[in-house]
Amino acid sequence: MKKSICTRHSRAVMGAAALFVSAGGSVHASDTASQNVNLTVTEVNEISLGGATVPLTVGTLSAGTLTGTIGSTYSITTNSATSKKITAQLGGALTSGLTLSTSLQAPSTGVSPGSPVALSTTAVDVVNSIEPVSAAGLTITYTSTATVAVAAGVQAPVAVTYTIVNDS
Amino acid sequence: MISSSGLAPQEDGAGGWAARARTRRAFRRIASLLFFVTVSHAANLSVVPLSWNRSIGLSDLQFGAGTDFRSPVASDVVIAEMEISETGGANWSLRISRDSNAAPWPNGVIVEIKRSGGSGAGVINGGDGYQTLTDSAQELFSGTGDCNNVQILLRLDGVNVHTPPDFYSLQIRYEVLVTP
Repeated sequence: MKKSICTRHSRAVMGAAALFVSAGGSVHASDTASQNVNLTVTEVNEISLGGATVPLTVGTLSAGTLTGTIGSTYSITTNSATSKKITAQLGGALTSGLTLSTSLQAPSTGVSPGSPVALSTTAVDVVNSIEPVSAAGLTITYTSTATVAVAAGVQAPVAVTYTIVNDS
Repeated sequence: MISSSGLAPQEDGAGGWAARARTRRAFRRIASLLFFVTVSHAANLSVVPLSWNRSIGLSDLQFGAGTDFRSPVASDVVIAEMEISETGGANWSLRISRDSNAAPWPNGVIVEIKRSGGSGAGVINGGDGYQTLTDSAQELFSGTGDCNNVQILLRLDGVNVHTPPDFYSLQIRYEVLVTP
């Protein structure tokens, strides 16, 4: 029994020794250094149009009014944490007797009014509630009408400006 | 009282004293061993600069409006130069980890690290492939002896339009471990 106890002591000691020897194999001298990686993501709200010039001919008679329609495209990228919308406005007044409307396909994270929006020199909403998205080749449809008072062959260039703003 | 381990002190006569003497000798050997362990080399690690800054914005879009940010948004960017010295010619391992106490970092944005270059009297092995930085320390490269002009390169991936505009920061922890 005494020997047994002694043996247990020895085993315990040798076990501890083995533990320390084992630890000695994994104890390493070390030195450390740290470095910060700082990342700033800025807000991006970018829209571009498929064509600089869109030729729209008004010549189809419909219900007593001459109409014309043409398509174009636009692309948009926004990473804003705030909901955005697209507004459109004319750069100048249209020739008397002419109207111009636009209809934009909304990106997957936005909402379109659902029907063409008449354009004027005052900004109007053409897509609302846009959340972060990148989308290219979205359609724009322009529709113009002319009364018979507008002389045939008249060219009436007008600029349409699309802007991304906060959706309030 | 007898402990559950069976190692409680017991007065057991001459045999017990002999056993205790053997025990004391064994502990002295262990103490010597521990001393030997503690005098191993402690290498010095130097990393400059202490911070690296990057701003991501409009110029980082792949092709302007209608496209997302480039992926990766940064690659093969030298973010630090490292020197490992006072190794005493010993073998060492350079480990990297992300400091979990740092500021918030956007979900899905990955930092990858690799090594380039290195000169000096020592030898460097590995580290020439990108490794994703994680909270767990992992060996980036290893070597023997003193080395300097070791470049640390970064690749940043996973930034997209769903990454909220904000300031983010993390800390890379470098550790050189000398193996006795």
